[in-house]
Amino acid sequence: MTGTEHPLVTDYLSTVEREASFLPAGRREELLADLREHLAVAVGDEQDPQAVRTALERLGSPAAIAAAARAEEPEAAAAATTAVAPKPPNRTRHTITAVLIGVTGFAGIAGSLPSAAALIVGLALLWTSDAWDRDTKVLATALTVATPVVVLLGAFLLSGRFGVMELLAVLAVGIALPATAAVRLLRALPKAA
Amino acid sequence: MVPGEARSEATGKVASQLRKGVLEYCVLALLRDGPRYGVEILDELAAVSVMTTSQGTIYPLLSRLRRDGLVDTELRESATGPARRYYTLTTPGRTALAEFAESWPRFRDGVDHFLTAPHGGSA
Repeated sequence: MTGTEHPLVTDYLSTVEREASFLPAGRREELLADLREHLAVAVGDEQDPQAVRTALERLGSPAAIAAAARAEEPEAAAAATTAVAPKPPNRTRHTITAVLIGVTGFAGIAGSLPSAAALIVGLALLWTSDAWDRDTKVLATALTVATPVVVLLGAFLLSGRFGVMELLAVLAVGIALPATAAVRLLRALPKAA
Repeated sequence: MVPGEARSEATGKVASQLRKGVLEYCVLALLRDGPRYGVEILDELAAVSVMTTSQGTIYPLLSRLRRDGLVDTELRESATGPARRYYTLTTPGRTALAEFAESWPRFRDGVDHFLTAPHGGSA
């Protein structure tokens, strides 16, 4: 009989099996077969305890072998990549966010309540999303929040001679600023797969 | 298993990182002149100190080389003991080895350039 039946060897192999439990069954079996075969050749028939110990020492710790097996797994490499890769974009949510932010200007025409509602929901969606980086969020927020300020300021400054042109100008700015924010948000999104 | 001294531990880390990139090509090179079985490959690697590692970690590497089609395996009966799995270099394996053999001197010279050339400044 071969040296693979030595108790030290069976202990060792069952430790490897336990440490490598993350491997697909087929791959784990293959690894154990390789090690068993190696030990059969390295130890020989004598099963001299010292030879067994030396052979096991040279093989290295079961944990090290399991770690090497993990590193060679394509799934492990893929998992490591996806762990750092961004999640697939939730396009519906992102579009709703951008549209809400974009229409805060239009909604202002209908009244301050719809405008404020769109603003609050839009900003909440924006800041809880990880689709945009901080700079983009700050810019979009600044553009959107600035709109009512600009509109009120414009209305106040121009109150003396408020004509159709002035009204149109204030409206245009009020609509354009959030729309710009929306366009920037949509552009910053990764392209759909 | 890990040497207690911090310096040799650090050297071990460097060696292990370097080994990671080149070990599979050393294995392919060992098979250049004909099939070998696992223990034989491991003994050859162990004979060169920088390639010394826990021998058992070579088997996952060999398994991956087999999956990638760079080596083939064949179980052969042995007159003196248990059957042995022989590893053979495949054509893609030979190509990969040739590519590495071509890149390696340039790579080595590139590293040597930075390590040995005087760059002024701190010496």
